[in-house]
Amino acid sequence: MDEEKQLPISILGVGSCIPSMRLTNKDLEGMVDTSDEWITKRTGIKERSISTKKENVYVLTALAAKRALDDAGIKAEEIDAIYVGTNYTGKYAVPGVSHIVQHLIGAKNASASDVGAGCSGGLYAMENGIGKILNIYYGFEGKKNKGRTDTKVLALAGDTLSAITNYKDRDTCVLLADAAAGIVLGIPKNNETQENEKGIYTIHTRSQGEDGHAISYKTGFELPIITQTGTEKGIKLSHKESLQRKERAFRMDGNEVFKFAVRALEKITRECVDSSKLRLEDVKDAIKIIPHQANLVILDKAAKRLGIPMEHMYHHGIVNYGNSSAASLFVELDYIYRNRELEKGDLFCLSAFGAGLTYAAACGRWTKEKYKGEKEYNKTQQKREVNSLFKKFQEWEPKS
Amino acid sequence: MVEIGKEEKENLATVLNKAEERLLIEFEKLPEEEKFVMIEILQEDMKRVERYNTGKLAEVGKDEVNNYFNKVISLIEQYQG
Repeated sequence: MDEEKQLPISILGVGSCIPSMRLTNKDLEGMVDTSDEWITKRTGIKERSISTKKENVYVLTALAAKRALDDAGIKAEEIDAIYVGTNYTGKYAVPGVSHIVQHLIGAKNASASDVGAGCSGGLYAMENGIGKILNIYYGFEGKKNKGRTDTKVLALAGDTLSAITNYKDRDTCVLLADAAAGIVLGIPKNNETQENEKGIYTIHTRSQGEDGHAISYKTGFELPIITQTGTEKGIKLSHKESLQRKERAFRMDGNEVFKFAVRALEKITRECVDSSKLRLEDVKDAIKIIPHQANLVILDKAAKRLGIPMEHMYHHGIVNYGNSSAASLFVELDYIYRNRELEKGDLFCLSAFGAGLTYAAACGRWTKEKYKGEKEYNKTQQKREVNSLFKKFQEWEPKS
Repeated sequence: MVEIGKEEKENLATVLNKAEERLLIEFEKLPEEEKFVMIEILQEDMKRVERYNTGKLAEVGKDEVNNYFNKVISLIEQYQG
């Protein structure tokens, strides 16, 4: 590949939306046979972010998209395409999450589609987004648009895994959480960039469907009604719903996934770093590894195998929000960005693995200035925005 | 708080984490003809897990520990006849 000719496609904006409820280890002690100490040592997770009825996958993802657009200083009408990495945990199988999000945010000029690649879905959405920008630039969408460098894409990820969780299966219910997040992709206006400002260097996606049975669920769920969290009672399901979930909910072969995850995370990160002509050993220009927040033990093992310290393997989300699947890596990116741990010129590598089985990574240099705004999203404002988006969602819903 | 990545006090969960890593990652990575060499190490790991397998953590972790024991025992039978 001729690096000189590579378009400087970059992340122009980041946003996330963490739902308002928390399911603690203490809550889970009252729901299944486990303990805070056991969960902490085996997964690193302390709390999981959980949605209320109004914080469905469409509302969460739309709010994350609006925040990413705000951060990029771009209007929804300027977006050419929306890709959402998701595990289809919403109320509708058709239309997709992306189509409902398009309506909720008012991105009237965008195309929209969902990307099903498990926890790697965010990076697959990103790959699709890069493809869209290149399609337009190289004339695959007609001569009129050929050479356009102002294409803007939303690469999002959102899931409400609490909708598909069997809260009697302690192997999985201690892990799963709800969240949405995403990025705006495009070419910065001052695209006469220096070598060290070039944006995304490489993106790699892989899958091995022969082992896909290791993580699965059957369709047909809605969000549980949360009676209480922050106490031992946690999430209460009716007997009927518990039985249904036992039969159809998320299941995972923990040992197989652990083996796959450690190897896949190491392999794809190395592959992506090498093909970007970067070096993991470079201490002066260290790469910030931002992985899918699956399980702290997996991240710890992968960091050791990659020969990097845990400070460079970011893991705030897994401890505080749990595993929110495809969204978790963009949630972590947003957290790091808003906490001023990313600044212009920093090297980063986004890495993920998940159902499919899939794995993916993207490397580049951060081209945005250090974030200067509020570190946390305003909770009162979030509640108002959730109410407003949920109302719009209800108005959109087909009338029976 | 979570102490992974740093020196931490060992308990059944941390010992099992390490033993499972050896069993699931390192052992499986070995060429078939070299696997028998690691059987002794796996046996040592199993004894260590057994030593820590007491108290409250043993109660909540019984399924994971049993699953681990079954896997090691099956490998011992396979590679030591």
